[in-house]
Amino acid sequence: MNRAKGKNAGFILPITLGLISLVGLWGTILIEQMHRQSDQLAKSWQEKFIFYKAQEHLGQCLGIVGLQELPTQRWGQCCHVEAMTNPTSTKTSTKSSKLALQKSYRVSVHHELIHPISNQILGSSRLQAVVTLSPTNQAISKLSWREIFDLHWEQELNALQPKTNYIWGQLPACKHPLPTN
Amino acid sequence: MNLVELMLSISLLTIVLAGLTHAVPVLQKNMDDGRALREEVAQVEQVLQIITRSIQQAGFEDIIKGQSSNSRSQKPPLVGIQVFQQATLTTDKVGKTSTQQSYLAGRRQTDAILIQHETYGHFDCVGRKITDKRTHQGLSRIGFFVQFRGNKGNAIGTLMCQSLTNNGQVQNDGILTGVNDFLIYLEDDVVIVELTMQSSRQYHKSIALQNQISL
Repeated sequence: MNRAKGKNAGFILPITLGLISLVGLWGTILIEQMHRQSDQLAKSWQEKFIFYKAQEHLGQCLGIVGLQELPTQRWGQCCHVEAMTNPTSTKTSTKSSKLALQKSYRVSVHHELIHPISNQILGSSRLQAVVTLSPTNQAISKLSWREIFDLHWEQELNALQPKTNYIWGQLPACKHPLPTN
Repeated sequence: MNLVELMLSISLLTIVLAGLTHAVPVLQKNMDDGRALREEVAQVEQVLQIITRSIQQAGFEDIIKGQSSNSRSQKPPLVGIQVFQQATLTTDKVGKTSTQQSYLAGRRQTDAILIQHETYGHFDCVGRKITDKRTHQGLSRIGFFVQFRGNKGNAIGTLMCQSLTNNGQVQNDGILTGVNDFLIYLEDDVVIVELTMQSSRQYHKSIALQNQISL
């Protein structure tokens, strides 16, 4: 009887433990997958959040262009406005004189989303717009807008355009803590 | 342990195992459905983000470069966005479209969109740099359309992103599979994108245009 008892215990115990381990493993894999997907969604949401913040701020910065006589460079908080020099042309055609009257500004913004506790940067957005004002009423006559993704490439491109300065190393970012709710 | 105890424990174990074997497939199915939904949402979200960013760059002109050289006046007019109803972009020639004859009579409706802009630090849909070599007449072209494979009844649609190679040739990259319908509505300063997946779920996004562009 004692031998039978030992046999049963020796059979049931490993089977039960094996089952528990299998269920545990299955659960761990599922939880891991769920975490990965939720991280991906969270990352996508964070990128969108900081992009919209930057876009909103770029709109506000563009609002000040044309309203007042701006200096050549105006450094605001995470917003940089530069008056672009107009082309100098030796020809005195009507087109070039009209071009000389037009004022162009380059407006750049830099925003970062940070972790509220660790201050780790979760996402950043750099946007730049070049606006040309109408010579008659100072309204925006032309607007070109873009997003900056790669700073190394940006530096290379900037070097090719002698009229422009590379500002991303100097422009401080507006920091937004990640909303917790 | 006597025989009664042994039988009782075996019965209990059988009940527990039977419950588990019944519950596990149900749980697994629910989990799989949930996972498929989350995966689809994440993929569509990412693709809509790519489309949004491309559309928002439409009509970008390098004003600073354009001022210093008068090359802009020699170029053809920049048409920021072109929408082709019930069409697909071909790979034969830049910007050429063909109507999807086999799907016109069916329920599938797919449009195509072609986005043009000058380049300055831009990337294509899969993260490759758009250099001057990858332009046509000085303009980069990003197109989105759906390509179907298989029989008409159960064809699988793949959302393709079209761009140019270093030789200026057209190339397509698949960015989302399982697409049934892809509709684009172009209004004054808004582009509305509607995606219907094979799961019959619909995704809708309105994208405000950033640049002043000619349509």
